[in-house]
Amino acid sequence: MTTRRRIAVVDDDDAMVETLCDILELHGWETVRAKDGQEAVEVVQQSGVGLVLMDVRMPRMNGVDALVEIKRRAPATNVVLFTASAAQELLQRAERHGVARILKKPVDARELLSVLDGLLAAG
Amino acid sequence: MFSTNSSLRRRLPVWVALILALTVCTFGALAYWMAWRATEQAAWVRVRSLADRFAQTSRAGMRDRVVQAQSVARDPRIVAFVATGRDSVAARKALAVMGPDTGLLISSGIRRLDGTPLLSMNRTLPPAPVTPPDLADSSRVGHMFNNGGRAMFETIAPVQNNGRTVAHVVSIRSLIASPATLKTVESLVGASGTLLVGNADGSEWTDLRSALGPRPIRTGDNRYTEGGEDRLVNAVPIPGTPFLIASTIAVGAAGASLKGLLWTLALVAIVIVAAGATAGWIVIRQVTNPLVDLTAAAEAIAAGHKANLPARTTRDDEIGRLSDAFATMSGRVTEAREHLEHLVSERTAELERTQRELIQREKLAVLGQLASSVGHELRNPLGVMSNISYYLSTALTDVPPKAREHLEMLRRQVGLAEKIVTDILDFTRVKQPETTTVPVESFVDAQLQRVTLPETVRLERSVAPGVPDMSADPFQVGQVLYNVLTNAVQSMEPRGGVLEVRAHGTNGRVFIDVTDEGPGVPEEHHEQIFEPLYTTKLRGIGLGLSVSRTLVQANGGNLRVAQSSARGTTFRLELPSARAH
Repeated sequence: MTTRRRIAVVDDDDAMVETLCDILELHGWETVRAKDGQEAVEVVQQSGVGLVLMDVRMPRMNGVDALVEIKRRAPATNVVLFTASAAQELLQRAERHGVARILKKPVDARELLSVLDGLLAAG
Repeated sequence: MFSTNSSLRRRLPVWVALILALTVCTFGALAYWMAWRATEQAAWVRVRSLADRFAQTSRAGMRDRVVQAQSVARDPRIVAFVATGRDSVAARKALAVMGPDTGLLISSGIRRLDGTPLLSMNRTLPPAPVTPPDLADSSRVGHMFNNGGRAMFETIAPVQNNGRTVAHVVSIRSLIASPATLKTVESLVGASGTLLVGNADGSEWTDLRSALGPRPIRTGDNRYTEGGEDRLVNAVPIPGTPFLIASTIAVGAAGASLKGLLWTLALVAIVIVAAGATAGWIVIRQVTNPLVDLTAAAEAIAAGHKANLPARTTRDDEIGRLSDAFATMSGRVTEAREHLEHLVSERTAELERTQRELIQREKLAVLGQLASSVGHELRNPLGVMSNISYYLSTALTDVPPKAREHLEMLRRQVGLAEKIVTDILDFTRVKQPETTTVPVESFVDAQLQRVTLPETVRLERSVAPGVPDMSADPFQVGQVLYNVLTNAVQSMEPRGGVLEVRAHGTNGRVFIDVTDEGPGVPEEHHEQIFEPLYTTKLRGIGLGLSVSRTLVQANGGNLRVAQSSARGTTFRLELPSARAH
């Protein structure tokens, strides 16, 4: 049970990663952190988490590219993207590669928790 | 008007006068010359007939004298006297036959062969002036000679004895015409005409009044000069005499009667020229008066002024038709020019509008980028703050109520800030409208429900019956109406007033008029308020109306100030109706 409530939180904004992780941990989640897409791909592979919460706009590798790579290596991983104003084509590409959910910023904490719980229950 | 020398009205009468003058002068000169010729011819005819006639008359008279002298010379009393030198009384009686009855006989007598007088009647015979030897045996008329200013001539007849000439019977007569004869001459050739008799060699001439001396006149001459005057002459010999008879007339006198004709001609010429020029002037005025008006009108049109058109004439000639055609043409020109001016002003206004819109779009584009990046950058800190407030309120279970209240305030304010950022991003992002059919009444009510009306504001809403549905993106256009309503409410703060919302439709368009009772918008700001960053509010970034208009225009509609005064403003939201599509 505890091993299943693991999640990778990926954002280039440290404060965002920090606060999100704190909220998730408060609700019993175990978190791993990454600063960009490339780091996310490595972290997911090493930790073997089944759920990823990731920003789209990031340096080095963006969220969608990271999604594609993660899905290629571990197709069972659920990836939730959150974005403020990503281009429509980028999001469409994410849909094609099996993104679990796309959330719009600002993300309300209650809404986020219920989405993640829903995904965990489903899969 | 016509004021230059190139004017037809001035030149044409002058030309007409000149041509008339030339014509009249040419014909006058020709007529005068022909009349002169005819007169001279007539004078010539008279002169010739006169001389011919008098030559015949004189010949008969002279022959009578010679015959008379001859018969006297044969008288036995004369022959006896010459032979014997006796009975001179009888000889005188015989001589008396020759005169002095005519009054022209100056002297008569018998002359010896050597020329000396043998017997003289009346007065002493002068010595024979000329006695040509070859004529000594024949009766004849001698040469004329001048005796004391009188022209005289001799008739000579030989007195023969035994077939031999022994003496001559001589009579000397004055060559003078009776007043009756002179009168006849004058009536035939006029006062300037003369009838002359002279020796064929020209040595002595008489005008039948007195001796004149030599004259250069010969048989067959037509002209001669006397006293510097050119004269016509007809000189013919008087047969049986050594004389010429000549009728003459001054050439000038022949044409003298034509002087009157010349003056008449000149007068007629002046009258014709004056009348012609006047008539020409009148005709040309008739022709050119409309032309002057037409020219002035054409020049006015050419100079770009409004043509003062000549009154339509009742003439149905070419000028009248020209006037009518010109009036029609200038009417068309004026119409065309007005149409052009109208088009130009329309296009200019359109250009100005387009330019304004371009500037606005450019500003918006820059602003959009700025707002987008600012909004985006604000999002993360706001999200973090939101997370923190959630975390604190969740993690801290035992906090004083005041602290929890503050945490809640923080959460709400962060939410408000997030909302503002979202609005900015939504407004500045130009999204393609998703057009659907929108019922007007429910659309208006939905937006009115979003607006929180203060108690001081009273709503008057009316939707005209039969308003067609709109064709628009309800979310975009809804944002616009919401914005307009919010502005209207704010304009009436804090006093309040009536907010009137009136929807109606016509010609495939739907209008939603929002009227407030605020302070009004000055006319010079009616367009300015739609420019980005223009604001009259203390709080506000001046995006609302600019974004609203952009959105409405993207939906095929428009947003503008329909009217404004100190008592309030009406904004008109105009959209295409669904039926129009």
